[in-house]
This record gives sequence, structure tokens and C-alpha cells, in this order.
Amino acid sequence: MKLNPKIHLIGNAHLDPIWLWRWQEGCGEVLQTFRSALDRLNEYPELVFTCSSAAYYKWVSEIDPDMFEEIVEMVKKGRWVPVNGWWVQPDCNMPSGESFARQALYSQYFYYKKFGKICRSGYNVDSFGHNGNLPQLLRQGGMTNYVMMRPGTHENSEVPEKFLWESQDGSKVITYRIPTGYAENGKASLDRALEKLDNSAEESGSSMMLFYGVGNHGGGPTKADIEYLTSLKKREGKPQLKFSSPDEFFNSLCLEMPDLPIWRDDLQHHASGCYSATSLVKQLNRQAENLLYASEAFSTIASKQAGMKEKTKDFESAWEEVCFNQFHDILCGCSIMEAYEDVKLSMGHAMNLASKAYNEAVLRIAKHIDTWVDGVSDARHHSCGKYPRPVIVFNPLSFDIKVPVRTYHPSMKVVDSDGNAVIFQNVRSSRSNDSHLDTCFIASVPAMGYNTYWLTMRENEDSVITVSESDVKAAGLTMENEYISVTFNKETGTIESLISKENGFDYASKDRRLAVPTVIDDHETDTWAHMVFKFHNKKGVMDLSDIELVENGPARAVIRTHHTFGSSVLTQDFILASGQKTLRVKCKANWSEKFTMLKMSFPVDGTDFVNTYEIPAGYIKRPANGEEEPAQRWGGISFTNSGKRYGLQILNDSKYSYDCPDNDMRITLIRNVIFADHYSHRPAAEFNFTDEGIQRFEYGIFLHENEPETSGVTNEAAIFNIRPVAIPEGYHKGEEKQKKSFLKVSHDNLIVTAFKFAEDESGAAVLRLYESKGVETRGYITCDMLDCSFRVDFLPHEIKTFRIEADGKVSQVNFLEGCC
Amino acid sequence: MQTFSIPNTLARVVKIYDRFAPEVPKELFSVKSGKPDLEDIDFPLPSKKRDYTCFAKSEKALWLGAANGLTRYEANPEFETDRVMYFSASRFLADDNVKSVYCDSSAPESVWVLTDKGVSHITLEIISAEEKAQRLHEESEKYVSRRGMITQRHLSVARELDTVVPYGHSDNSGTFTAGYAIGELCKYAVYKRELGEEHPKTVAAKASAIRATEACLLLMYIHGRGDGFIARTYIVSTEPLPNDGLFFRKQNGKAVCLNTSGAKSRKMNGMVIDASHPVPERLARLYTDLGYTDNDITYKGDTSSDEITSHYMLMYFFHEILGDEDKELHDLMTSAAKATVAHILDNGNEFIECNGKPTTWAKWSENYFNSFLGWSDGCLNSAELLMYLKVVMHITGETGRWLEAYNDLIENHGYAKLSTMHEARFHISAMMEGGEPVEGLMYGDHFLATAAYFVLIQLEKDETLREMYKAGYKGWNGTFRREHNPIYDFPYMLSLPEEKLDTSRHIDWFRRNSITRLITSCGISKRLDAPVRYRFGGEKETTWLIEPDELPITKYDRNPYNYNDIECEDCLVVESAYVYTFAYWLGRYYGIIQED
Repeated sequence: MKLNPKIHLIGNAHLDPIWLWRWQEGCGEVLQTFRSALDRLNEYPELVFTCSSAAYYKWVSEIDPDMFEEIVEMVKKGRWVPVNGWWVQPDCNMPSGESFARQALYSQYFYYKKFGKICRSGYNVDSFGHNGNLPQLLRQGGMTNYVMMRPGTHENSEVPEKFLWESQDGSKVITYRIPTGYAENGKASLDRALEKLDNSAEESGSSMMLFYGVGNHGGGPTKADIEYLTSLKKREGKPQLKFSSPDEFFNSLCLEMPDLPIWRDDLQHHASGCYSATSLVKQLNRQAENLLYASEAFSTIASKQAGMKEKTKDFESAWEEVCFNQFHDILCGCSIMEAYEDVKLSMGHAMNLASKAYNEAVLRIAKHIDTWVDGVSDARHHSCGKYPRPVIVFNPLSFDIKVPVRTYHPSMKVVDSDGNAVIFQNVRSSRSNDSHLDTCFIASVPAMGYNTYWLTMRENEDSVITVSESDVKAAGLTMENEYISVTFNKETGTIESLISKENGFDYASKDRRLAVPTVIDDHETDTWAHMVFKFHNKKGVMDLSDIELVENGPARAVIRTHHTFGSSVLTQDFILASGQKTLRVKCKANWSEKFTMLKMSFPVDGTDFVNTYEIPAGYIKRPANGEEEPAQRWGGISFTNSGKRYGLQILNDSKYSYDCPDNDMRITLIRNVIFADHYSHRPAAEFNFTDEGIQRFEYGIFLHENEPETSGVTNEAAIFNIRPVAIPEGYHKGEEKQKKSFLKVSHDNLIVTAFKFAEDESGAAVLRLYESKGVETRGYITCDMLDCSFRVDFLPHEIKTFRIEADGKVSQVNFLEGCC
Repeated sequence: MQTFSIPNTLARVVKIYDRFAPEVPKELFSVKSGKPDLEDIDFPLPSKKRDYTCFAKSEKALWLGAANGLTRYEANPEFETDRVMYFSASRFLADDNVKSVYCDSSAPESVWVLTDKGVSHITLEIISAEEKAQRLHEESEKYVSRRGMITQRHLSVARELDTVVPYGHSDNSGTFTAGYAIGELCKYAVYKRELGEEHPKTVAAKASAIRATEACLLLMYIHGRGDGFIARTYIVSTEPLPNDGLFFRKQNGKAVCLNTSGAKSRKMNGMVIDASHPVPERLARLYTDLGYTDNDITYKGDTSSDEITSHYMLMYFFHEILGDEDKELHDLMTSAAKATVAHILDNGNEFIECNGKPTTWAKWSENYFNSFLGWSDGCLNSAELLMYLKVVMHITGETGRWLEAYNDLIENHGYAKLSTMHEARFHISAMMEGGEPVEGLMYGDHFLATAAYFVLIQLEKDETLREMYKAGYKGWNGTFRREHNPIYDFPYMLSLPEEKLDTSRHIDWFRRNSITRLITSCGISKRLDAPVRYRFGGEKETTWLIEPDELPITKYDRNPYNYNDIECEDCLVVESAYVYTFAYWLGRYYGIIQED
């Protein structure tokens, strides 16, 4: 009954739109490669050509519509097979869960509109590792199969060639790991590959794929290779050769009824240096993701509530830029330096679109809020300070927050919309003008909503305002608030005591200090750090040059440290604000140490170390084995001390790389190596380095008991990344209250990642959430604005997308929004 | 092991009247409540807030009427799942268009509901989980039992249990009755343990358990073939003859295959076969006491693995609980158990009909496992056959041929390994079908997997094999975990105590199960708090697991997330109570649940 295995010949051309060239050249290569592929298809009637990346098809459809029509015809005939319903072949570790949703949404919808069908096979043959939630992200994007290649057997020999890959929510994709290369060409290369594949097919009893065609910089199947493979079709005693596509391979594989192992882990490591190389592109990626989320959410609200025109097309355009820049050689920081000039333009375009829409949205919403004060003579009567000035604080997150907010003016007092005094403090501004002071106050803002605060420029002598006593205290080199007490060592500027006031546990000691700026020697690797998975060659620890308590007020205390190493400097502001569980560290480095990494080290005392890292829309557990690990907004260590479990998590606003040799939890903040250096002989030249110069970033320290996933760290990391905006507003009548939530989600582990309009321009809204704590949750969502209120069950780690029609009718869809 | 109590709960009791019935209070027609103020309710309701047109307040809750049914909202419920309750036609209302609502003082939660076509009187009674089990048991014994078989029965008039007709066979009478019998056996064991052997409840439970077991065992003998065959079900001469499947009418030691569509398609109609092997007198009394003879019997063949698996699970429980007390029945059981397994082994691991061909769905052979249909089934079916052999060895104390066969299947044919491979094979099968696993699933397989793996894990002492069976069992968890159904979860918890399950969901399951198994329609698509979910292959599901008393009444063979409404204006069936009683008494027997 079993079918005979075959070797499926996958004609393809691996196209890197940016790598050792800029995108303009990559675009040209796409056009030439597509032309070449069409010519070969016309010449060889059996040939099938496979190509990924909707971005390339869009280029062709715009620049050469006639050729695009030829492709459409070939797709209809099944000769040209688009694969990977994503915009490009992205890095598969660093984009957020929402980014993967957008990779699928814009691409599959494009394919559906142009070709009348979507891709069923995911295809990232060159990406440098694959996060553990990809099966769910692929399935939600309409794909059931997956082709990958890295890590290779020399990097991780445990990964099978064919397997069912399962993510923590239970989603599965049938996965093929390319055991040869993705661009075999030439007789010798093809023979070698075929020999290997024949053996694999015989051993497994099921079919294999041979990926042939000139690649990386385009090319595709050559005449010689096509003819050679055609000649081999008559061979005997070996699996039959068939010009084919990944879709056909997977269909055929199912019919062969293979017993595939189930793989329940991520697929790592290939290029561990890429988790940290070129901080610029990583920061732009995070900033764009954060801004687009907030902007879309409030634009949706403003469109429904405040007459704003839908900006769906603008957001599509912005997301396409972001998705493009998530291409593996771009986001991994291993392209040439000049390419990042293009990335800045492209991401700037995306963020500018988002920023404008965001501003319009919140101003439109603010206009409807009743901020009128009797006695005010005009709508902007604040300059004399007689009346308090309204400041509307908007919270884009789907849960309530209480966080410090900054406005660019000093104040005498701050009250909330109910007239209650609010903790505030005038803090040093970034400017050197007028008062030199800004206001920092602690704002409580409801989920996906706003609250109005009143900032008084001058004390009103007729009223007595009392500010509740602050939990922030500081003296010498110690700061504390309700949750944390932290003391710094005056010799090293590192933390010698870090006490969680919730349980009294001290995470540090005088001889085991935390936040140690550690410089790693990285001169023996290339930009990718091929075959290097640990970065432990310590070059030294930065020296303290200065430490000072620079702020001490009711809203926050700040201790500033200055460190040096060689000619590099690092300034850190350790900020402990009222009611905050995270000790925020605002960093500025001027880095010039070549072939180095900067890691911030947090050695803890205990046993049974387990690392947990945020991955796209989830988290993953890892052994504390010292390997460099990719992570998103948080990563850390949990451990046992005196029979209890404790944890220390390090949040970040733009980093993606951690390691943990034994007990030493470290975040990688800087990696300064040569751009696009592939273990070259490094000729004498004035090379440019990935992280040289000024670097600004933030990290945070979050303490908890038990394991991190149930500690609220994901919400804390969301707050750390997606901060509220404060809009100084005028005085006006309005139909809206001074405090409002537009969307209620019953549980804070159901985190909204998108609130937008559907792409089909139906006016339907789309809401996407994921379960963040790994617990099954019975929840509900209410949104009066959309006239809907409904219940939902989430399995642990599950992502759900809801489509809410204009009449309030709700359906659960996948990333494709019911559009295709 | 996780244990928990089930607190007393509100059980829905409904009676529907004509609007002019004397029982209907006049106030229902005169009350003018106006629209309710629901501004402060921040929880999803089945109707839009503005669409509620009338309301009444009871001691604990607001009762809200809308054009799509009745909602009960309790602001401070003891259980979150009771915050919002939904009542729709035809289970609770004559129709969905609620015109008026009136709470009277006859009970703390007593509400009268006026709709276009009638008046409903709904009360919420406080009863214990055990009392619910007892009421359901009584309903089944009175209205569903058909000579001891507890499957389902038809009614002449919808909702009127007293109009039950004296027939109503099921394709799987053996399976469903076995589930019921196991529940009764567990009940007997619990009462015996807690109340003593002489207590009237214990005595009654024993009688009930024995009768249900006898009814199952009869199916192993009633055909008179003498070859280990098992009938799916049987009818007597006063019951109408169905026109589906394979039916054999016994006549003077022979049986003739009736001219049904199923027989014609197999060209078996008119076939005469041996039926001379006597039915043991004790079992035959189930029909002879009613005046029927062997010549009145028509039995159904083409038996599936479902039936056989359930029989063997029952044998395991009977042996454990009543094996020492009822030697006669135990002997009948062991003989039948051996005969059936021998039949399977002698026929190349297939169950053979009288035409010499395997039945449609009872194949445990490697041939079948290597076919397209059997490739995915093979994982469960291999576990089933191993389970049958283990049960035979356990209840007979014999090894010999059974042990040889068991070892041969494992060592030479890879059956134990195959039993671990369900998850992967099932996924690939679903891919072949173009859907998701939950779309391609035969939901009855969850019960069969529970039976096969649970019993195997209970009986297997070899650690390596136990671990394999546990791994195989885990492979099913991916699809049944979302159901939160104790009948799957309890055996799973017993088999894999390291796997923590959310017992609060089980408490809700017991609390919110209906106190009647009368089939009525219930609206799902009309409630706005339950969005539809579109699965990959196009099936529609709800986005959350609706509580059982607001779901269709089914056996253990349906997807509880199914979004399609059961539209049965003339629902004329009452179902077996085993869905509840099996789960409840199994939980009590193993100490997983205690009465509060």
C-alpha cells in the first residue's frame, strides 16, 4: 500500500534583496531572475519554479506588469508556485508575534488577490533559527507545512529531516529540513546532493526534496542543470525524480503515510552573533512594532469615535516596510553598512506614517473630552497658570496601568480627573532653556483608554491639595519604593543589595554584585558568529568613574553611574519610580571598542537555574548552559534559594540577545564587529563596525517569586516598551468623560497585539490577543464602541483573532482576517 | 491525585404551559417592567443590552427577556460560570420571543416567562451532584431502559416522557449500555464502601449494575453463532424493523439476514446462518421474562470495534467490583471474553461477519493498519486489541495463548509502539483531508481511547510498556483536553497523575449538566456572547465551551464546540443518563470527587 518515495526537484532562486548589496540592486536581481525563470518554464514544459516573498512579486507587479501577467498565467498552470505566505524570508527569532501576523496578512492577501489562492507551505530556507511558536504563527497564517534549513546537522544534529513541529499551543506543521543546500547547481553538486537524498529516502521510506538553482543573488535553474536532471529521470533502482514544488511534496508525503517524529522545541542555533549585531536595526524594528501597535489601536478608536478617516492603507504601507526590514540578513545585522542607510529611510517612513496617525487619533479623541473649566476665558488659557491645564494620558495597552508620565513643563501640583492629588515631581529636562524642568507624575490609565490630569503651573491659594505620601525614598547610594530596595557599591557602581520588599529576599551581596558591565572579547568570530554559540571570553569589567544620587523626590529617585573601558564610556540612570516593580535603567554609551560585546551581568545565588525568554507571542524555557539565546522584550533566570523559587528578569526596549553561564544572567547590550564579515582574512582597511558610536537603550530589572511566566513580567515588558502618551489639551466642552476605557479584556494574560480595521475595507474591526502565562483562560471582551461583548476560551499560549463586523457580529478568524 | 468536592448547585427545572393554563399567574400578563437598566453590567450577555425589553428580579438575580430568549444575570455568583445563564427554545421556552417575565415567591428562583407561543415556568432547584445522578438514573430506568439496555428511546409527543414508545434501538446499544453499567458498578462499590452491603441504596445499585451488565453480556450470546461474535443490539418481534445495517432474525436455531438496504448492498439478504448455540438462561431471562422466545429475536450485526472495546472495559470493572460476588455472571463473562478474543485472533485480527468478511469497523490487522483508512486508526486499534488480551488474562487468570498473542503483537508486530503514534498519524491524516484534527475527529474515539489506554495502564505491570501506553494516551490529550469532560479527564488523571488538570472545569461540568436527558433544541447561533470560529477546513465552532445545560444533549460522540444549532422542533428522543452517571460514579469510585 505504501507509495514509493520520490525525489522532488524544487527549482528555485534564493534571492536576498539586501545583503552584500543594497535593495535597489536586489530589486533588479528579482526582475532578472523572474524573467529567467519564465524563459526556462517556457523552454522546459516539465519544469516547475518555486519562489517565496510577496515583496518581490509586488515589485514585479509595479515595475513590469506585463511580466507579472506571465507569472499569473504560470501560477494558474501550477508551473510557478509561490510559497511562504510572508512578505520576505524574515529572521524568525526577532520579529514580534504581531509582525509574523502581518507578514502573513499582507502577503497572503496579496497572493489571494493576484493569484486567487494563498500559500500553504512556509519556506524560510536561509533564516538563522526558528522560534518555538512558529508552528502556531504559520498555521494562523494559513500554512500547514514548513521548509527550513538552519541550523544544519553540524549545528544541531538532533533535528530530524522530516518531522511534525509543534508549538506550545498544540499547533503543528509538517516540517522539512533541507539536508543538502537550498541552491544546488552544477553536475557535481547535484550528484552529491542526490546521493544524500537517495539514501535519506531509502532510510525513511518517504520522499525528499532537492533544491536546485543558482541562488543568493538570484539566478534560478540553469539550462544545463534542468537538462541534467531530466536525463537522470530514467535512472533505475533509485527514487524517481520529479519536477515539483514544496506543496506537491507535502501532499505526496502525507499520502506516503510516514511516521514522523514530533519536535516540541525551537530550532536553534545557527548565527548566535546575529541576535545582537547592529543595534540600530534592532532598535528600529522594536520602535516600529511598538509605535504601529499603539497608533493603529488609537486610530481605530478615533475612526469609530472621533470621525478620523480609516488609515488602513497607510498602515499597510508602514507594515510592509517593517516586514521587509525583518528580512533575515537585514534584521540580523549582517548586511553591508550602506544597506542600513536604506533601512533608516524605510523604517523612518513607516514610523512617520504611524506617528502622524497616532497624533491625529489622540487629538481627535481628546477633542471630545469635556475639559471645560468655568471661568476660563479662552480655550488655551494656561499661560498665566491661573487654571490647571488638562493633560490627557493615553494608554494603548489592553490592561490598566499606573506608570510615570512626563510632560515638558514644570508643575506645582497634579490632580487626576476625580480631583485627587497625584504624586509628581519636577525633573531635569533635556533642554537648556527656560525652567530646565519637566513634570513627572504617576498616572493611572485604564486599558486602551485615557485619563485626564490637571497640572497646575502656580499654586492655587484657595485650595488645599495634599499629596499622599510617596513610597520612594533615597539616601546615599540606596533607593527604595514599595517593591524594591537597591543599594549601589560606591567603588564599582554595581548593585550590592537588591531586595524584593514583597518577600525580603536579597538578590545581591557585597561579593556578588549585579549590573556588572562586562566587556567580552569577540575578535575571533565573524558578524554571524558562525559555529560560535557562547561568548564567554571576558576582556574586563568597566571601571566606575562617577556615581551620584541625582534625583530624590516623591515620584522617583535616580542614581547615575559613569563607567569607562578603554576609550568607551557608559552612563546609566537607575530610575526607581513610585509604585513601580521594575527598576528602569536608561543607558547611553559611546562605544569604540572593536571586536567586543558589552554584557550586563546579574549573577544570582541558588540552585536549579532555569532561563525563560520571551519569544514571539509566548515564552520558552532554556537550560542555563551559557549559550547565547535569542529573546524579545524580556529574559531572565529563576532559581531555588532556601527552598523557595525566585526570579530575576531583565527587560529591554531594543535588545534580543541573552546568555546565562550557570548562575550569571546576562543581557547583551552591544556587539561591535565588522559589518558583513564572513570569516574573511580582513585585509588592511578602515572597516566600519556595527555598534560604534553613540548607543541609547534601556533595560529594566524585575524581581519575582516562582516562575516568570506567572509573575506579570510580560505585562511589565509591554509597559516598558509601549509607553503612554501625554497630550496637553485645551479647555472645551465635550460629550466624553475625562476617563474612559474603549476596550475591556477580562484577564491581563490575554494581551492585545492588534486592534485595527480589516484589510477588505468592509469597516469590520480586527482584534488579536494571545495568552501570555501559559494557563488556560476563560475570558471575555467587551467593547461598547463596537457594540460587541463576547466570551472566549484560550488554551495556554493560544493566539486568537476576532473579526467584529460593523453591526457588532463577531467571528473568530485567523491572521488573514476572513479576507482570504 | 487531584481530588475535589462538588457543591450543591442550581438545577434548571422547566415546565411549559399554554398561556391560558390555570397555573399561569395573572401577574405575568399585567406586569410592566419596562426596559432594564444594564449600564453597570460589564459582562457579555446573550443579547445586546438595548435589546432586552423586560425583566424581573428574583432573590439573587435579574431575569431579562429579549427576542432571542431569556437571560439570568447574577451580579455576585458563587461560581463565575453562573453569572450569566441563557434559556432558549425549545429546551426552556415555547419560543424565543420573550414578552414578559414575572418572578413569584414559590421558590427562591421561580420565574414565569411569556413568549409568543406559550408560558414557561422555570425554577432553579438546589440539588447535590449525587441527587442529580439519582434523578437521571431514575429517568433512564423508567423511560430509556429497553430490557436492560440503556441507550435512547423515542417519544410520541415532544417533551412528554410518559409518551415513550417501546422501541428505539441504537447502533451502539452495547457501547452505551456498557458505559451505563460501569457507572452503576462504581455506584455499587461506593455505596458498599460508604453505606455497607445491606443498605437499600447498595442493594438497589447492585441490582441495577447486574442488570445492565447482563444486558451487555446478552449481546455476546444472543446471536447463537457460538463463535465469539457480538451483536450490536437486538429487537423483539413487537418492535418495528429498521431498514439499515445488517439484521438477522432468529428462527428455530437458524438466523436469516433480513432484506435491509445494508444487507442488499452486501448481497447478504436472505442468507441463512447458524443460530443454534443456546443463550444462557440467566441472560435470556431479560426477554423470556417478558414473554418473548428466541424466535422473537432479531439482532444486528456488522459489529464495530466501538462495541467490543466497551464490552471489555465493562468486563474489567465487573471483575474488579462484582467478580467475586456473582460467580455465575463472571463465568459467563470470561467465556464470552475468551471466545471473542479467540475469534479475533483466529481471523487474522479481524472481526468476521457470517459471510466470512470482516465487519466494516472492527479490524485490528496489520493489513488494515497499512491501508489508507486504517493507517490512522491503527494507533487506537492496536491499543484496543492489546487491551482485550490484557482483560482476558486479568479476568480469567489464564496466560497461555493470550500472553503469547500479546507478546507477539508487541514484539513481532510493533503494536505497543504503534499505540504511541496516534498524535502524529492523526495530524497527517487531517492534512490529507484538508482540515484540522478536531475537524476530522470521530468524537466517539475519545471514549474508545479512554477505555483502551486506561485499562491497559491499569493492568500492565511492565514499566516500559506502561510508559508506552502513557505516551500513547498523552497523544489523545491534544484533542480531548479542551472538552474538560470528566469521563476523559478522570481516567487520564488516574493514569498520568503528574499531569495537572483544571478541576474547576469538572466542577462546572457536573454542576451545569442538565437534570434530564430529554432532547430539545437549544440556540447557539442566536446568542451574541458566543461568536463563531471558522476552522481551517471550514467547520464552525463556538469560541468557548458553553456549559452543558445550554448545549445539545448528546452521547460521548459529538464535538461540544459545534456551532450548529440543533433544530428539533419535534424532538422525540430521551437519551441515556450514562453521560453523567458514568462520569460521576467513576469519580466517586476512585475518590476523585466527594460529595460536598
